This record gives sequence, C-alpha cells and structure tokens, in this order.
Amino acid sequence: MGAATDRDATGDPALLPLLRSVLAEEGLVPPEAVTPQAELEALGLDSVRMTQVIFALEERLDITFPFDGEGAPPRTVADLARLVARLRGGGV
Amino acid sequence: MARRVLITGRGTVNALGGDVAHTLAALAAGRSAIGPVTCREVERLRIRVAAAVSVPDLEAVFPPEMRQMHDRVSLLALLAAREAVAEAGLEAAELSSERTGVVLGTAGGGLETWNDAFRAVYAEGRNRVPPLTVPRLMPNAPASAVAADLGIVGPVLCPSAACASAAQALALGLHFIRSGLCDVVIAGGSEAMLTFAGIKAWEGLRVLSPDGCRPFAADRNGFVLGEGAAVLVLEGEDHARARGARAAVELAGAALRGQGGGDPVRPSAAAAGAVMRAALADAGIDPAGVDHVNAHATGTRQGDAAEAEALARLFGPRIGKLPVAATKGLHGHAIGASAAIEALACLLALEEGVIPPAGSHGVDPALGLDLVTGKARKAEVATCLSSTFAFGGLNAALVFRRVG
Repeated sequence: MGAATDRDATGDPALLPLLRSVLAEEGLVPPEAVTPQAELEALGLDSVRMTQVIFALEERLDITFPFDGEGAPPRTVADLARLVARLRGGGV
Repeated sequence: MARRVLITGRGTVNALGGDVAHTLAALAAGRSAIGPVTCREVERLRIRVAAAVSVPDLEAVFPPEMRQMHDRVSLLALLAAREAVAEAGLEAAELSSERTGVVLGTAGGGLETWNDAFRAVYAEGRNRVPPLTVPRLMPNAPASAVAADLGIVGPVLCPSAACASAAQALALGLHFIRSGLCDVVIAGGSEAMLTFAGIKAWEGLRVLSPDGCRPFAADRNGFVLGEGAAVLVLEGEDHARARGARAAVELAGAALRGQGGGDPVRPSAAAAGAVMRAALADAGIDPAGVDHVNAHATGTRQGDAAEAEALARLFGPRIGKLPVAATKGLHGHAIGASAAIEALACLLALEEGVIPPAGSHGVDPALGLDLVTGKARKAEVATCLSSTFAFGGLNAALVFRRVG
C-alpha cells in the first residue's frame, strides 16, 4: 500500500459505476451514497453484506479476492476500487 | 405435581393454508392440498405429486435482504412463529426474557440452498457458491432466524430427528417449562424439501406414492411429500394466567423413545406401542382416558400396518370405536414439521369438536380402525394422543388435553 495520490484517492474512476451498482444490488446501499470517500462500514455494509458484494464482484469480473488476513481490508469505496483494479490487473 | 404447560399461541404455513385459520378451515372441509410438483427438471422425476405451500407469496411478504439471508425453510418458520407469538399476545419484554426459548426442529434444513450449491459446483462446474450458503443451509437456521426475529436470548435449539423433529421440539419445550428452565417456549418444526434432489432422494427409498396419500386405505401405496412450518407457544400455566393469556388446551404429556435397533426405515409395532404408552403415563392417564388418536399414518403399506397393530394392542377392542385422524392425506408429509402441523389438527378436535378426515378414501377393513374419512366428524374430545415414528427409529408421542 503506497501513499495515496490524487489519482489513487478515487481508484479507477471507470469502476465507480460498477461498484455503485453492485453495492446497491447486493449491499442494499442507496446508489447516491456510493462516493469514493464513503466508508464501507458507514454505508451499512456489515460482514454478511460485504461477502455478498465480494461474491458479486468476483462473478461479474472473474476475479478472486484474497482471503482475510492477506492485506488490509478496504475501508472506503476508493480502497475497494483500488483493490478491484489490482485484482483485474493480475497482481495482488 | 408437575407444572402444567398450556398452549397459548399457534402459527403455521403449510400446503393447506398460509395461517392457522385457513389451515383449520381446510382440515374441517377435508380439502386435500396434494397436487402436481412444479420444481425444475420435474420431467426427470418419477414422483410428480406433492403438497406444496402456495400462499403466501414469500417474495411479496419478505424484503430482498430477508430472502437473501434465509432459505425457504427459515422463511416458513418465521411466518409460523410470528403468527403464534401474535396470537399468544407475547410482548417484547416477555420475548427478551432469558426464560423464553425457541425449540424448532427440521429434518433437512436448507435443502434448496444445498441443492443450488451442489448444482453450481458439480453440474455447472462453477468454482464458487454464494457466500450465504452456509448460514442458509445449516439445520439450526430456522431456529436461529426465529430467535433473531423475536429477540430471543434464552435457550435456542434445533432437534433434528427426521419425521419426529417437531415432536421432539414440543417434548423438549414441555420439559423445559416443567423443569423451570423456561416460562415460555416457542416450539415446532419447519421443512422445505420439495426440490428436485429432495424428491429424488425420497424416490430412491421407494416410499412415495405416485398418485396420492391414502392413510390406512387398502390400496395405500406410499406417502406424499409436503412442506411447511407450524409453531406452538408453550407456556407455564402460572405464567400464562398471570398475564391473562387465553388457553384451551395443555400439552399434558410427551415421550421420546429409540426403537432399540432393527430396520431403521421399517417401523416396529412394539416400539410404537411403547412410546404411546410412555406418553400417556407421562400425562398421568391410561389408555381408557383417550378420546381420539391423531395417527402418524403416512400411507405406506408397512408403516400404517405396524401403527394399526400398535394401536390395537394399546387400546384393545376399544380401538374399533376410537376415532382416528390421519391428516397427511390432506397436507402431505411435511417431515420435520409434520408433528406440529398435526398438533393443530389435535387442537381443532379438542377446541371445536371437529375431527378432520384423512381424505375421501375408505379404510382397510383388515386394520380394524375407526378412521375418520370422507368428511369431518363432530365429536366430544377432551384428550388426544398424537404419535410420530421417524426413520432412524426415533419415536415420539404427545398427549393434548382440554383445560377448563
């Protein structure tokens, strides 16, 4: 995890619409609340909801999230976007 | 003198109806809920009749997050428990007492979830299953769902004993209250096995009828799978009276017995008799004090014959004049929920003097039973014996008695 730059702060902007839709459908979060800075826990994503979101992202993007303990868990929507971008790029 | 345990609430969802009122009306009318199976790949099934829950529409009743979290078996349990608790008039403070418990049995747990997960990994070659697969399929999921929904912090258990699951739940509830561990126990069972693989499994055992359930009939040829949930609120008499709860019937006695070996899927008349005798002894009455029997009567050749033999031995010549109900002919065999659904039929007989029919078929004269069939019979019933004989040799019997 490097220091956040402006570009890192929002992750891959192209991912935001996808995250918004998955968080709304699987995490039952209001789409308008999904901003890069929003904290996942504050959006009401408890552990059960978060596993649903991860499952949906894995299915849609054909990626595999690391198990708990392998790296810091994403705290914000931007963290999640960064993680997804990295997983799509093949590196963890 | 043991603490008396009253029934202060009832709830159900089963093939006959989406609540107690509709279920009792269907029982009294002798309306069968057995119909065509509608699961996917039905064309690969040899058995295509079942008794499925058609109302209410679970998608309309439960919001998406509940349907995501819970298998059908738990959603059915939730509806039954909510209705029972509402009828009992239990308030939040009573539900959240450490002396209020939940004992909810199931034989199969979240079978639909198991089926979907296996289909994904085996049939479709997928490498992941939905993340809630485990919490949805675990057998204690219905009990946990009900406990969470009602804010229960007392004991929460899930007896799993095939067809006797709900009977074990009611018996445990009775003993929890008698022993002073609980004042209130929300007890019953839930089952949802009408999936492709669920029906296939029963097909393999060759116990299902291809054309209908005819308990104790000469041409009986097997049972029909049902589904549903039923829940009773059991409550210590002192506790119920103190809060002014209405109760017309007590759970007066119960017995649980192992068969002692032998064929695990062939009922033993001796073991069936032993458990019924033990339940009557627990209730402090002898066979002469029983007015009505709600039989296990699944409609199989061997099972019904063994049960009829046990009843004849227990009641002697009187068995020919003792009205026997066999309601699986109407609501099918809801396996782990069946004893609780049948408890509702017992309550109908005790409270309203209406014994529901087994269906429209006749009775096998060789069995010597006074089976209520064709239409419901009016009768004065003060004490009712209900029995359950489960695969695996786990038998149970319950005694219900009207209270003044």
